[in-house]
Amino acid sequence: MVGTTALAGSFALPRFPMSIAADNTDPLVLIVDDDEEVRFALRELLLSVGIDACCFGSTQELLSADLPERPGCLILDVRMPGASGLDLQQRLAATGNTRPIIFLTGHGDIAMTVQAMKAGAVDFLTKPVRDQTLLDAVAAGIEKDVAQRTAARRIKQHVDRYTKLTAREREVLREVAKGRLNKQIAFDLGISEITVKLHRGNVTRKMQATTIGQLIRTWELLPAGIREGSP
Amino acid sequence: MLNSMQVPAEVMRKWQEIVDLLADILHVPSALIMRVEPPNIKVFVSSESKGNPYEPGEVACLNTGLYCETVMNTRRPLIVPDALQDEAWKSNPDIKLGMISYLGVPISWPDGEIFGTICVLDKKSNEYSELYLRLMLQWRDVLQADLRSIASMQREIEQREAKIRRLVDANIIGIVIWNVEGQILDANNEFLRIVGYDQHDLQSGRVSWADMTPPEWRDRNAMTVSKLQNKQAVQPFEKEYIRKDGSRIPVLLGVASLEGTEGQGIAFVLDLTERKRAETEARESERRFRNMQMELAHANRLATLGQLTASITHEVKQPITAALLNTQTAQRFLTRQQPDVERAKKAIDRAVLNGMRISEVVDRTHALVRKEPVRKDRLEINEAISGVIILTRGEALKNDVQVRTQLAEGLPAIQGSRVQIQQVMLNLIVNAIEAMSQMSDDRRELLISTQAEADRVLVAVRDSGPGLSEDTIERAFEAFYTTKSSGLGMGLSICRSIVEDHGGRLWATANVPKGAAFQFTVPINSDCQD
Repeated sequence: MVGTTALAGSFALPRFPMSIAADNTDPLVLIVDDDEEVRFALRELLLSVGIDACCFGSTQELLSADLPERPGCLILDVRMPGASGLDLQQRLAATGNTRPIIFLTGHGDIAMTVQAMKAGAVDFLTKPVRDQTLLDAVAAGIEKDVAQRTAARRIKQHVDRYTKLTAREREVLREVAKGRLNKQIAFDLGISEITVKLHRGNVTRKMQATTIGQLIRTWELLPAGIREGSP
Repeated sequence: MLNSMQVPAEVMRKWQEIVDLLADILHVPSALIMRVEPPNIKVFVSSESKGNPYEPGEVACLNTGLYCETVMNTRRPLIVPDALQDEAWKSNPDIKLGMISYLGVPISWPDGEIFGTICVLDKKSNEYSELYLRLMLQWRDVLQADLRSIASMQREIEQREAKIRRLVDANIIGIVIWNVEGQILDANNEFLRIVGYDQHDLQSGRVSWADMTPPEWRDRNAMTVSKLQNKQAVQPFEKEYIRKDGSRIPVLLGVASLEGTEGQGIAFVLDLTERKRAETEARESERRFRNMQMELAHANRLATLGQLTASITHEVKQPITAALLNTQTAQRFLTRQQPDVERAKKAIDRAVLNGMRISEVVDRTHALVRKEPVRKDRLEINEAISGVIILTRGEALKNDVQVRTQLAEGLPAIQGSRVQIQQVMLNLIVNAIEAMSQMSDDRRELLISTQAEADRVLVAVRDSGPGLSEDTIERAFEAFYTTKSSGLGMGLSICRSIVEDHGGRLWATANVPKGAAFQFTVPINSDCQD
């Protein structure tokens, strides 16, 4: 647009900070706003506290970008040309992208806020925003993502271990998790109680649990699909 | 009526010659032309001959047995050779003057009424030959011919006077006779009405044009009078009179000098009160109309901008957000354990730019909100249009409308009011966005274009909305016509007056493949080109 062309030049910047190596695991904040000035200002603020950020002019730009696997959060303008921030939130959720989202809006629209928060937004901030408010929200978002990622990693570990179990061992694990006694399991599966004990020992070892309690908690952390889907 | 008629001096001289000749030829002391002026008879012309006892202007009573009385009564010539020898005449009044013989013939006006006689008298007995009688009758005919021409001249004068009288008495305009001393010598009733005096004032000489003229008009009056000395009339001009009651009255005054008079003139005076009042009223109503138009245009701008409040707020909040973030960022860079002055400075520089953008948007909005008289300046139409596009950008965004522009480069400048042209664009764009927002899924596109045509600039706003039916196209520009639940329906009607006020045209057509197209032209003003 006419009035802003002059400014655009001076605000041009690379999307990804140059200094960041590909295997970096420092937090990275993704900024999506159609206003270049706002994008730039947000990025600079984050840089001033040592947080890397990269900017996108539209939701499409973000979706078509190859995003590095780094913890962080999204700062999203609610109203943008093309798909809105709320649309993007849904799209990301659908594709399993769980990056926490901080919404920025020009005017506090209650209906919009409710919708965004229900869909899991970390915060819903009104422009103009105080730096500390934003940074707090970003910190919270990053923390949440880091936690999510840690949790996800642990679950993935459990799933990896689970996949190494034999079919019989998985059956035994499920029955144990239901709290059944060895002889009940032996009767149901038509095997001896000794054999059940043997399987049980293998399962505990393979799942790297030290106690029965721990084993049951691990089972419960497995994704529901796996718990229900296994024979 | 004829009786009272004046006999012109040159005729009198001729008649004098006649009676003188008559006295001479007939060797009589008196040759007279008598004129009847009931109840008297007057010596009208008397021969300048020796022994003539009759003085011109002398009057005698009728019914006293004068010779002439008989002539006039009988309408026949009368010869009295010797009254002393005649029983019928021996005691008539003229005998006292010694006039004992008489020859007279009657003179009549053309209408047959008696004028008087032409006669000769002698102090001695006189037979008066037949030849003398014929001579008298010949002179009489000459006199009657003169009376005929006097009468017809008189009729002419009377007719002309009647016409003038009619004009004066009709009292449509005031008419006065004035003199250079400043007096009004005569005036008709209309003039007296205009200046508030009455006949009594006029007759007592209290009406003076010099006194009635306000001081600031005295020089103009003196000039008029001096001009009149060189020519007969001056161009009518407007002035004021002070009425008898002291109030002032505007008049139109035409002045001419009166020929053959010493320092007198005639003037007509027209009362301009009504006209002045009408002029003032017309000016006032024109002013009210302009005012109302301005109010209406302003209301429309406010209403249209009102629709855009959210979008414009967004447009301002963006740079405010950026400015605040940039300044806070600068603070952080400066208050860190190891301050980064370079980055802080950059952030502040950007905040400055943000601030300028804020002021730009505010100025642009304020220009449209302001209520001020229309000023037409040299205007780059593309630049004015771009301003509106920025203001409406948020609104387009909100309604998911894609805005495309095709603004021709190097367009000649126009002469126009920036606010008004922007108002037209604002209306057209907001209308288009609103029209498209009613559609469900279709692609919403707004194309704004400008191009130069021979002697004008063409601006088009095309949308891909539901379009206008033929009936709506016709009615769209009518005041109070609206298809919307909100709004007065004044927008397009105001837009059209604005464009026409700029000497252009605004019209609507169907857009291809769909939607509506609103186009307007504004003439290129050659004065504006450099």
